[in-house]
Amino acid sequence: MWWYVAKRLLQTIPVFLGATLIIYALVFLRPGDPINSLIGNKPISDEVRQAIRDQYHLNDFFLVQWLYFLKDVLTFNPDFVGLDGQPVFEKIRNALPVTATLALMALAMDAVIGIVVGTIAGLRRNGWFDSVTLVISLILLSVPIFVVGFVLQFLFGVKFGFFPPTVGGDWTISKLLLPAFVLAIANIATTTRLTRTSVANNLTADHVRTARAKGLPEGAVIRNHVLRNSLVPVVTYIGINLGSLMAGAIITEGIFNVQGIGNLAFQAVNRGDAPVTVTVVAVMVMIYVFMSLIVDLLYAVLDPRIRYV
Amino acid sequence: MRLSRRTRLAGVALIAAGSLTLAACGGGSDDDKKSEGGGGSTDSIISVYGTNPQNPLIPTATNEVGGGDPLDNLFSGLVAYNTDGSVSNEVADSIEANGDSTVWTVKLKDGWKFTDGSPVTAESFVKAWNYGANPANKQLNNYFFYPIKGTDEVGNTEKGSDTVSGLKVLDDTSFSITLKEPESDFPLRLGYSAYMPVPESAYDESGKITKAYGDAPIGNGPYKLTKSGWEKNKQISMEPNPDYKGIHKPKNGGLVFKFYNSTDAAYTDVQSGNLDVLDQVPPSALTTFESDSGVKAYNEPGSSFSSVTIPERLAHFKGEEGELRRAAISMSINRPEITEKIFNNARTPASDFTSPVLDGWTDKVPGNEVLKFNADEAKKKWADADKIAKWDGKFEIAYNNDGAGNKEFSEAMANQIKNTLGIDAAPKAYPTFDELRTVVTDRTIKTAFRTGWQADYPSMLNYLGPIYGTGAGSNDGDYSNKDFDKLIAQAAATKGDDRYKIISEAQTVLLKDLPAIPLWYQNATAVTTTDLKDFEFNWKQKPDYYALTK
Repeated sequence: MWWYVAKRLLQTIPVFLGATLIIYALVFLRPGDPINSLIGNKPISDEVRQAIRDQYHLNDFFLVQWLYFLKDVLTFNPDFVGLDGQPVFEKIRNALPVTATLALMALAMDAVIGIVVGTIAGLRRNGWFDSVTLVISLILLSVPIFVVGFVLQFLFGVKFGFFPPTVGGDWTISKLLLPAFVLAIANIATTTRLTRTSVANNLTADHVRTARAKGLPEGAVIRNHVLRNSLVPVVTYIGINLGSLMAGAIITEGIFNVQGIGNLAFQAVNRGDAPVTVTVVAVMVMIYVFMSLIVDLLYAVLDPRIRYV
Repeated sequence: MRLSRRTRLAGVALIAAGSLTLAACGGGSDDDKKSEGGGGSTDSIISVYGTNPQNPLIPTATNEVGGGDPLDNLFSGLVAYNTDGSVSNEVADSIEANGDSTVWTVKLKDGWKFTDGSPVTAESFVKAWNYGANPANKQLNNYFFYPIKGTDEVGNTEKGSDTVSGLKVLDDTSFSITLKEPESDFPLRLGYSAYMPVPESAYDESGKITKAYGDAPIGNGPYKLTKSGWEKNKQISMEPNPDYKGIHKPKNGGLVFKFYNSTDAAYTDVQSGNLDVLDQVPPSALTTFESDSGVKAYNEPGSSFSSVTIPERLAHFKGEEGELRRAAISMSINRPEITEKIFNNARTPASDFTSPVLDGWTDKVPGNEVLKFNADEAKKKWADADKIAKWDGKFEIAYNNDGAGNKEFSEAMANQIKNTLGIDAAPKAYPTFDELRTVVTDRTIKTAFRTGWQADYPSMLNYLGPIYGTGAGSNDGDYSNKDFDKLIAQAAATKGDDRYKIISEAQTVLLKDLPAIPLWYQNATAVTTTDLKDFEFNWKQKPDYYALTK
């Protein structure tokens, strides 16, 4: 198994190089001059413009810019700055914890609510609980996240005052509860339906019938034989979600004013700030890669037939 | 075995989840206590909308509002702006001109100190300005030094020199500024943040302003940074500066610039009392904010000016034909309809090239009837132009899609032109502001395009010279008219109210040539919590932060 892990970790190297190279090429191909968004409508002297362009290697071909980027990243250069002159690593260090917390909270809500409700619905399929769950999950899936976000923010934040309506720079877990729930909503619906179908399928499987036939108590049958087998696809979905939750947080972070990584990426892209954009995206790609590795390893725990050698 | 391990795991997970919930509750109450604060003293701290500054907080490096608003409160310049746009001497005791307003001698008041205790001297200004003008220092505001002798046409120190030859320190408390051209309203500029003094401690041995200074600037203004100061991604906190001697003495206990990703989130915070002041209402709330009982609303004409620039190099827009076509286009635009329907009256139709908040402004500039919607006259002028040379092709208006309302107004305007003149007119989108600005600055743009101006200091001349003067830095349409240049120079050399008459004449020239078609003045809109008092816009469309109380 360790060899498998090492192999997977080694694979991250080409993924990192490839992803950053592609993004550098894309930022390079983007028309417009990022210096123009730095200066607004005001004039700037050619000398100053040139000095700034030199500082960020903007006159070089993107391959050269990319090599400079690699050098800065691999040496953890503290002077590696974005176009705004602020250190990139510091920006990410400031923004990553809140987004990671937000995504993990959303993931926890998604897993707990989704699996519990999905299992109940699967065990009592076609009953009233199942039908109600189906309708609710369809609604949750079809309403855009910003609608849910603004409505919940208005109701629970402004109107009733249960939660602070925005998070801001000094975030706490309690402030993140509402945005995490908003972020989790669409996923909860999918997790529920996935669990429900999986549980329903497994209920009719041969090994479950055997387990029942040999007289195991119903609780043990459900726990050991139904749930365990049903969770393989669910775990895949939830695990891969963490990556997309981090990336998909842009809208939620905007609504609830979370100063996180999504917001950082959004502003960097808008400004054409290549150093920040590329680093943020690289971080997201890496998180995605590591999450899928963890998911793969979890399979072995859930299903002993899966062995990594 | 396996079962028990999993059971254990589940147990751990349950405990973890439980403690997370507990931590959440604990965190909540702690936090509430902190933000409520210890009673009386914190009540008078005003929280205001801000964005994370894009540059180190150095006066000559900061040119956007995220850093500019905090800087304006941390520094005091030679003059300070009053709420009505007039100026009073601040650090300057006197600013005297010679006979033709080309040499200005500045005397400083005694006893001004930076918050690190060092005195504010003539050197504090001159050294900072030399630093700003030196292109090696990459300061974005260097064009502010352009009027001073010893800089080139964009404000760099002249080649091969580290200092601006027009700046001379006379003694500790006085210095002289020699200008390239006469400029009677030069002192009006000097309250802008690019002209602020910087203490000796800002520079390192090599004479560069340090990163540490940019993170925590030491100024001489009404406020100073608190211990926590600029917390990246979070806020900038400041408290009154006890040594401050100027005219903007803080009436509150401090300011906190809270950073937001969007004005929408900030608006929600004002509604729920978590933010005291939001100085720009988000587009989504423009129809409702004035009737929202949860906030106090403000809406009045402001100082930024919007226009559409039609470069002369476009076919059919030169000479007499061009004049007729420009007038026809201008008269085809129904400004009141657009400002009402699209901007919900958060814009005011323009009647000149400047702004109603300025001293000397009038809506009676001769020739401004060309800015009124008049379909018949527009058709007639267009037909007259066709007699000179037949119109062919398409009239396009370029806009950047990342600004709120740009798409809507460009479409509406194109439609009005199309309907009135019966020509093919259409908006043309550029995704981002910098893409539009790139084709504008390198002159590859083949269409008309939207332009705007936010003045640097409250002077009508700042709306005219830098934009329409021959060869001026922001003259995007390459307009050139000797009469206009002459009138601007004459107005710049004239003291007192006499200059307003000359400025009117200069505007009449513009109204005839229409290098840009004036559209509207952007209103200043704001909301505050209901208990906030003494909110008033200054000429910059910003509240006078020092005066806010609650």
